[in-house]
Amino acid sequence: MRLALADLQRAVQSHLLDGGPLPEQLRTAVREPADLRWRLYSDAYRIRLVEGLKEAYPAFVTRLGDDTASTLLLDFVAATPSTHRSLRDYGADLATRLAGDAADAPGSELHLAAELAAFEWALAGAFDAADGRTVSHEDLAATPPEAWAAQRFAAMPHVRRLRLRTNAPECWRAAVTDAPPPAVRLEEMPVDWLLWRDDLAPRFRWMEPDEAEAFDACAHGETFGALCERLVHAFGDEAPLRAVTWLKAWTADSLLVRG
Amino acid sequence: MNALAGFGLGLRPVHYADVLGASPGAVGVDWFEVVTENYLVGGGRPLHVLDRVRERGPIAMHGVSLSIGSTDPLDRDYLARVRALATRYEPSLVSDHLCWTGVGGTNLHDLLPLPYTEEALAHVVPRVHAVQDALGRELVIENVSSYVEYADADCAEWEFLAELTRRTGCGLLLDVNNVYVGSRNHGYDARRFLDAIPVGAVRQFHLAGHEDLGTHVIDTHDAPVCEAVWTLYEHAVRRFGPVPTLLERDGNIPAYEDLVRELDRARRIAAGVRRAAA
Repeated sequence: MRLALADLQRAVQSHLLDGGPLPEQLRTAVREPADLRWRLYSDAYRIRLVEGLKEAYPAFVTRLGDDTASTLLLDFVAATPSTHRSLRDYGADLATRLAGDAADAPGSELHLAAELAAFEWALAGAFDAADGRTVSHEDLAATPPEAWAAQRFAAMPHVRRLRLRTNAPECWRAAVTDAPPPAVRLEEMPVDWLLWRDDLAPRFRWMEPDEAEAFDACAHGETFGALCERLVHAFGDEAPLRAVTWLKAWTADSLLVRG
Repeated sequence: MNALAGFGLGLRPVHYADVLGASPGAVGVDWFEVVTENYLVGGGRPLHVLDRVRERGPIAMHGVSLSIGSTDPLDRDYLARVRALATRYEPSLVSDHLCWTGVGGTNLHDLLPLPYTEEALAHVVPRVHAVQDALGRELVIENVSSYVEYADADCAEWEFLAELTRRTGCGLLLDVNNVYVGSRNHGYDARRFLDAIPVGAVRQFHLAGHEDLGTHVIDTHDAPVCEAVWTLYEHAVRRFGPVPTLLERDGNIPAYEDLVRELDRARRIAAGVRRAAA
C-alpha cells in the first residue's frame, strides 16, 4: 500500500536519523540495493552536520585533535537534530552539553573544551550579529548635565558576555595562531569576558568583577544615576567618576546604543 | 534589479578577497550566486561583503532550506527573512530546490527527493504559489541530484517539473550535472530529461562536478565539470538558448582564476552553439 506523503517523509527521516526500518516504498534503486543508496543520505547527514560544527568551532578541533573532536561532535549530532534553516545556527548547545559532561571534572580537557566551544560560539555571534548606531563620545558630550542621571543604554547586538573558569581564551588564541597549546588552567574565581565586533573583526577582553557588574547593569538599561548608586559601596565619592570612565571606554569600543 | 545574463560563479568566502580586490571589470564573471541562508544574519562581514559584491553587479539568491516539498507547514519566518534579504539586495533571481529537507521541525540539511506522484504534485503546487506570494516574486525551482527513487511513482521527474512550472508559473533552474547524476543513478536518458522541459521556463543552468563511484555517482561539487556534463550542457544550450549559466564549487575549491577559466569553457560552448545556429 502506498504511504501518504507525510508518512513517507516521517519514515525516511526516522531511517536517516535513527536507522528505523525502510518501508517497501523506499526500497528501490537501480543497479544496487536500496539500503546502500539510503546510507549515502544517512552518512551525508552526519558528515554535513559534523563538518558544519568543525567550521563553527575551529579552535576546539585544533585543541582536541580531529579524532577526539569528531567523536564528541558525532555524539552531539546524534543527540541533537537540527531545527535551524541555516547550518550556521546549528550547534549553539554544544558548550552546554559538554559542560554537563565535564561537571565532575573541573579543570579537565573536557571542561576546557566546553568553554572553548562557548567562547567560539560567542565570537561567531559577534561576527555576524546585527549592526546598530553606537553611542559616540560626541553623543555623551552633547548630553546636558541635568539629563545624565536618567540616561539609559543597551548593549550593541554584537556584544557577548561570558564567565569562564578556565583559560579558554588563551587556548583559543594559541589554536588559531598555531602556537603551542597552553596547559589547562583553572582560575581561582570565574573570569568575566566581554566579546564584541569592531570594524568587522571580533574582539575580546576580560573585565574586573566591578566593571562586569556595571557593564551588565548598563547593558540591561539601568539608568546612569542608578549605576552610580550601585558603585557607591565600592568606590564611595569616586563612583560617578568611575562610571564615566567606564562609559567612555565602552563607548570607545562601540559597545553601547541608546537605551 | 539587473537582469541575469551570461556566466556566473557561486560566491564562496574563500574567494571574497579575490572578488573584492579586483576591479569590477577584472572579476572575470558576469554575476554571482550566493547561498541565501549564509546571508540570513544580522550584519557584520557577510553582509558587508555582499554589499560590495552587489555594487559590482547582479546577484542571484540560491536557497537550500525552503523545503518546498515537506509536509510541514511553510516556515513563514524564514520566508520573511528571505524576502527582507531580497528587498535589500534586489537579486535578479531567487531559487531553491524541488525537495524536502525534514519534517516535524527537523532540518536534515539535505535535499531529499520527492516521490513523483500526483499527491506530491498536489501538495507542492499550492506551496509554490504561497511562496511566490510571500516573496512577491517568481520562485525558481531546481532539480536535485538523487540516489534513490520511490516505488509507485506516477510520472518521471522531468514530467513532474514540467507540470509544476505549468501549474504555478514558477521558473526552473536546470542543474545539468544533477540531470547527469540522476541519469547514472536511475538509468534514464539525460537528453530525454532535458527535452521534456519547457523551453520558456528555464531561467538558469547550474554546472558542477561530481564523484563517479562506478555503481553510482555522488553530487559532491568538489571536482571540475566532467566531459559528459559538458556535452550535456551543449545539448541544453542548443535546446534552451543563452540561459544564464552558473558554475558551482563547494569542495576542493581551487584558485579563483581556475574557476573563471573553467567557466570560460561554458562561454565557449555557448558561443559555439550560437555561431552554429547563425
